[in-house]
Amino acid sequence: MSQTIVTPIGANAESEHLDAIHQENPHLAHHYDTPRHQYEAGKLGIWIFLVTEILFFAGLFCAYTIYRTERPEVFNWGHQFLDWRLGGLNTIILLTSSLTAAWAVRCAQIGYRRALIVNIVATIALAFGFLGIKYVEYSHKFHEGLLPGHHFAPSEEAWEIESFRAKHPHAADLAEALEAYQASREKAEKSGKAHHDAKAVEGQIAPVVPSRLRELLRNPEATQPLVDIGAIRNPEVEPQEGLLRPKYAHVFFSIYFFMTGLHGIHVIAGIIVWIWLLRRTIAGHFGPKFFGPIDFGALYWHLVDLIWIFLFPLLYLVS
Amino acid sequence: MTSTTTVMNSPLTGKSSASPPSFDGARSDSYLTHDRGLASWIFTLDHKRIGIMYLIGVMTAFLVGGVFALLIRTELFFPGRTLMDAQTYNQLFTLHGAIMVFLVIIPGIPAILGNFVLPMQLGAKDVAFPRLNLASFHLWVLGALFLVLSMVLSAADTGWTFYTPYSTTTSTAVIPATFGAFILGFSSIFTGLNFIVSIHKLRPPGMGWYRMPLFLWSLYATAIIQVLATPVLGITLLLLIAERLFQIGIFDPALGGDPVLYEHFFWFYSHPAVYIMIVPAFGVISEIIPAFSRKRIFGYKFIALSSLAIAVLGFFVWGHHMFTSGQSVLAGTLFSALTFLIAIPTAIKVFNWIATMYKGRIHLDTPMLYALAFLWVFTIGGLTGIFLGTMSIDVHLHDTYFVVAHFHYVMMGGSITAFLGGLHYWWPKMFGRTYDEKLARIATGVVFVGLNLTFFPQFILGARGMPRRYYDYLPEFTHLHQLSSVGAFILGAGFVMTAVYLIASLRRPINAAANPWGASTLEWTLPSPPPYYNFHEAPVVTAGPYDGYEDLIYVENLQGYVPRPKDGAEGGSGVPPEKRAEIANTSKPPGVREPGVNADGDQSDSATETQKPGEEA
Amino acid sequence: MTNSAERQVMSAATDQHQIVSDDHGYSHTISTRLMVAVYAALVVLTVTTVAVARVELGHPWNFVAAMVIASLKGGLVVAFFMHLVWDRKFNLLLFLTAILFLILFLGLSLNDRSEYQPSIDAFESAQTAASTP
Repeated sequence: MSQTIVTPIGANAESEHLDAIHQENPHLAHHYDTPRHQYEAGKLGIWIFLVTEILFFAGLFCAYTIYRTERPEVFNWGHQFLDWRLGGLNTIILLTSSLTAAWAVRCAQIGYRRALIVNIVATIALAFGFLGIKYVEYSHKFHEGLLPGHHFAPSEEAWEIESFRAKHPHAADLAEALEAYQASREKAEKSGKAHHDAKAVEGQIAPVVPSRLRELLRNPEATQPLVDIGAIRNPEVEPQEGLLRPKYAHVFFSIYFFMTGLHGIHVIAGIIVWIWLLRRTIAGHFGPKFFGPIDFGALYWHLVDLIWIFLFPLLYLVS
Repeated sequence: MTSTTTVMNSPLTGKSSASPPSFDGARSDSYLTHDRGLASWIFTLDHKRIGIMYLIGVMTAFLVGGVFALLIRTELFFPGRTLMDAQTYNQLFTLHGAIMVFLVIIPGIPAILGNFVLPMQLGAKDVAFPRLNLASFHLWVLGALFLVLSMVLSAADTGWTFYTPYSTTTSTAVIPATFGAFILGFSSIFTGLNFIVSIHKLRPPGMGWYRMPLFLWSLYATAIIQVLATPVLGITLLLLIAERLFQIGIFDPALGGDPVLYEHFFWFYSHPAVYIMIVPAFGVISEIIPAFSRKRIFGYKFIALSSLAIAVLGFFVWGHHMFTSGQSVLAGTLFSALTFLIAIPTAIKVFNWIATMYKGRIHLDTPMLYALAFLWVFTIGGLTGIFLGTMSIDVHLHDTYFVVAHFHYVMMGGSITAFLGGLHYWWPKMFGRTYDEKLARIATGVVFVGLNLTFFPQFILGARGMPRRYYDYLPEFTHLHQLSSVGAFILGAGFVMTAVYLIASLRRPINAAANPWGASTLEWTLPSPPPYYNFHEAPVVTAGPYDGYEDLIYVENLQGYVPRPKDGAEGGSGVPPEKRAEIANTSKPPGVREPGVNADGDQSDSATETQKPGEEA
Repeated sequence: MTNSAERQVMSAATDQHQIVSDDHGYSHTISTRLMVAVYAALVVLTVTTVAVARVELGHPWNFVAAMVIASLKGGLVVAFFMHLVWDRKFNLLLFLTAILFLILFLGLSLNDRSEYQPSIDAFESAQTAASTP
């Protein structure tokens, strides 16, 4: 017998029973038989989507791994300008938002509508907090010229970033002194005054700045202050590798901005999803009979958290 | 059976017709006429309408890409400048490739035939996520618009592979083209996602994995590739765009980047992508051959599992595109060895198809003619792939016309041939009309001749050293190029003929039987064209998809097959009362896919939701 | 997992709240206690990873330690917050497949890059030789 021969039996009773199920469950689509059927299909669907997201970020993790393996100096230099405290705070924020998301699913399953709303709002608020800190970090980078690709043009302020200063206080002081020296030299040149001011500053830094460097400083064509500053050495201690700006330093910030930027876009998308879920919750769609969208939205959100769990040590905790 | 739903614009109202549809009924209200107006198509959630829209879109893209191909072949008719300058030539082959790969062949069979047929072969009302399906289509359109934008601005001239650092530094409109491809990637991913969930969750009672039609197996294997590989293309193209915009330094050596890394990223997707192109074609052939040999498929499990094997193995061989790119010899050796392995599941399929035909009663209708053409042409294409997979040979053949001939044989001779076969096979079901069989056979012949005449000389050209993507060439290659160009126009004529008689068939009144070919999968139980809801309830399946051809007899005035009437029973359903009782008592309760009993076979004891109406029979 | 088995797990894991009725109990509900415990573990692991980063362990070991801790955190999120422990095994298979393909992609690319790195080094030293007068 072929498949074409068997036909449905007992159509009438079947139709009525299925009709009844569909009438009881207004959110049940016509091509599913029961809510459980629809829920299971949705769950499989969202997991497949998460698989695609993992492979989407895979390319970036691959690029990161290759560059970190083959050009470690770029990472040793670049990560100094990332503040691990802000990164750590963001990690805690996202973990907390994962908690509220999982809690939201629980509330939906049990039918605690008010608690569900509170948890969704909390998740959204925490997500905005994450974005806020990201904004702070990004604006610092912008300000210091630590940008990806051909926009990379670090300014003197880069050396005053809190995180750099915390790691290399000595170099930070030197950089400040050198900067002051150059500023006063320019001022003296403009006004045509004698550079006795400059001489005074030079006297200050002379004991610690190597003579070669002083030669360069006296040279009016001395350009790229940061490269010179990068060559600052403590005469008593071996030169710290991390201070010398490597040739492809901009690649670190390219990778940093691309990875955190793409992640940030996913956070924004997640916020939009949560807002949509909030609207539907307020409209009373969800409860023990129907909570799939909350569950699936939360799964997406957990993935966003999962990716950050890896981004944080990879970018901020390079040692 | 109808119900209220939350899906938008679905006009499912309370019309509940109690009797099961007969083979000839409900033609006046098919999915084509159910709802009127442009908006009812643009916002449709009906998988059949989405399949038709894809057909129109993809065929338009095929026309554009085909015209570009003819322009290329015209240019190459003589050495030196014939029609255009070198820059334009570069842009033409880039856009020809990008359109054909991203707009035509990768969506091709899954989006058109898969969308149309998959739910019906599952006895389902729709795919798992109809809105996502519509989104896939609109993303396709959006991606196509970006490619058009690239053409309008200053078409990319990098080759469809967008190799760096040329693609990151050339002044042509690379970003619209790559962004278009990026969007098309998501269209592909969502289609794959939809198909996987549909096959897992929407199978009818009695259809275990090994009773599924082989077309569905092939779509499942393809969907796995779509879901795992396409995201990598997405990130690669994004990185490429960022490299162009910001010079981030990932792929350009002048900025500290690595162009071979780009190739690794690109081919990690693009090699599995060629299996997206061909595996659905295998599925179509697996449907056509048993039906037109009136014989059960030979080696069902082997064919089913070989699709999965090809899908998985396809992920391990991408480096065979990079033998001469600076990849290490170690990697090259590894990739070459693994490439040979893929020949095994592919050959298994070919042998099983031939074994199916052996001692069958062959009907040489158009779909079967295409299937036979496929066997010939794809074998040539596939074998030459093995030549290219041999690293020592590839060093000489890489970037020559041998490669061009190889991939056109598998893509044109494989995918497009199978697509045309499938289109002719399912055309009566899709539109309820038959096409002119005589014209169709002639056109098939023209296409076959044109295809071989175009691409066979290219093997010789490549072996003799003619490089690919070259605008000019040495005079000694002229005759072979001219043969190829003549073939291209013959091929084009064949396609035009096909389009003409197919479109002309739409002007006939509905005249197709439910089962014109006597096939035995579930879509052929529905009227031609089917109602918008497909099935009232999921049918119970108690046989394999290629069983029981002997129980279908041809009825002349219907021009189609019906089940052989048993003694005493009326026509129509063809299941005698005692048989119905037997089915009712031995199989699972019909109609309702027991919740909790999903396709993975888990049982549920939720007694509240199943019932046993069979007692009534 | 059958319905009744799921219900047993549910009543063990949830505190006082029973799932409302038969056919609506089609998904496991995580208990408050477990959620908070997992969260606490995640915070502790975060603090740990920062602390470990400040200790110099030698070249690959800092990276390895960071990845191990991150994997632990990720594992907790995936297993409990994302419900994989109570879910169909197939979803776990999907997740592991994604990781497997990620490793395949990374591994082969990285391996190849390290193999042809000498030619990159040669290119770069030739470049610097050419640019310095």
